[in-house]
Amino acid sequence: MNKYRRRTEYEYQKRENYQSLSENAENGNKRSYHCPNCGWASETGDLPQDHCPNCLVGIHEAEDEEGIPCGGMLEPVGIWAAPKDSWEIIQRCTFCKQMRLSPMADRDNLVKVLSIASKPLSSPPFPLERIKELAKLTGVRSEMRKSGDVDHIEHIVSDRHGKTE
Amino acid sequence: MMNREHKRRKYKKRYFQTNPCTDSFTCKICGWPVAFAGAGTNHRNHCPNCLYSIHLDNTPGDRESKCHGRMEPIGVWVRKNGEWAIIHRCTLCGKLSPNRTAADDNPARLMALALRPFGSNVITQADVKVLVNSMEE
Ligand SMILES: [Zn+2]
Ligand SMILES: [Zn+2]
Ligand SMILES: [Zn+2]
Ligand SMILES: [Zn+2]
Repeated sequence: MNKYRRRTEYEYQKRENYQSLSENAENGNKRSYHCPNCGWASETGDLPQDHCPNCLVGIHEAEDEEGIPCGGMLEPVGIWAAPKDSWEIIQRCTFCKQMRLSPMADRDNLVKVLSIASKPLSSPPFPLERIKELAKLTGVRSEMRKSGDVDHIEHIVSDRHGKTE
Repeated sequence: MMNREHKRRKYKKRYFQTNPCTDSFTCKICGWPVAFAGAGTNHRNHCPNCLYSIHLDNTPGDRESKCHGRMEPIGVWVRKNGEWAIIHRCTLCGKLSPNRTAADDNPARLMALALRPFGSNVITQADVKVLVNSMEE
């Protein structure tokens, strides 16, 4: 079987949701969209723009060479604090393993967003109390810095408790 | 004169998918001299000092990409086994790719990456207060 023709349960679920949504819309009932991952129901019947506002999961719509959408589940794996104070949810498709960005929306579940953002902090790959010692061992010296890009990272380390800008 | 291994590297497709990349190089972004030894992995794909990478691969190790844009570290993905992966984003074409951290990656820079969301004003203390109050009701 061609692997591009395989479908995940999410895609089936999504198709069913679309179908029931359009059927219901014809009958004048719009309250039928359910998130295939967490069951969140849309009050207005609008489909979520890019991801479910409750669990932040999306459906991977990218098409392959044959024009068949992936249909995998896009799991939120990280938060990108992009320039100009816009946050992007970093998602990874559990089916094809591709990653993509999905802009954070006003109605997104804040607890979920904060939980994803703090996951790396609660599972550091080295003992945090030895971070300075380790940094010395890896031999970082400020005179090596030649680019402004590096400076802004450094800036965040030194200023992480204060509000910058 | 080219030796046999050099030829293989130059002409064999996807050489680095099956062979370790043992080159030492100078980071194009921060000028850090990057030695092959110390990474604890055979596929060093980012600078241990500034954590930037260059967009060379379409799939890991194939060296098939013509983009060659600089790849900015934008976040950390904690995998199921607790291992960290740096998420890189190409500043030219926007491609995202996760890369395993290496043993000699600068720990302060790694933590700075993880802390970045908390240093921005997108979710303020006031927002969190409103959230807490709404949940205590
Ligand atoms: Zn959901
Ligand atoms: Zn996919
Ligand atoms: Zn560098
Ligand atoms: Zn690129």
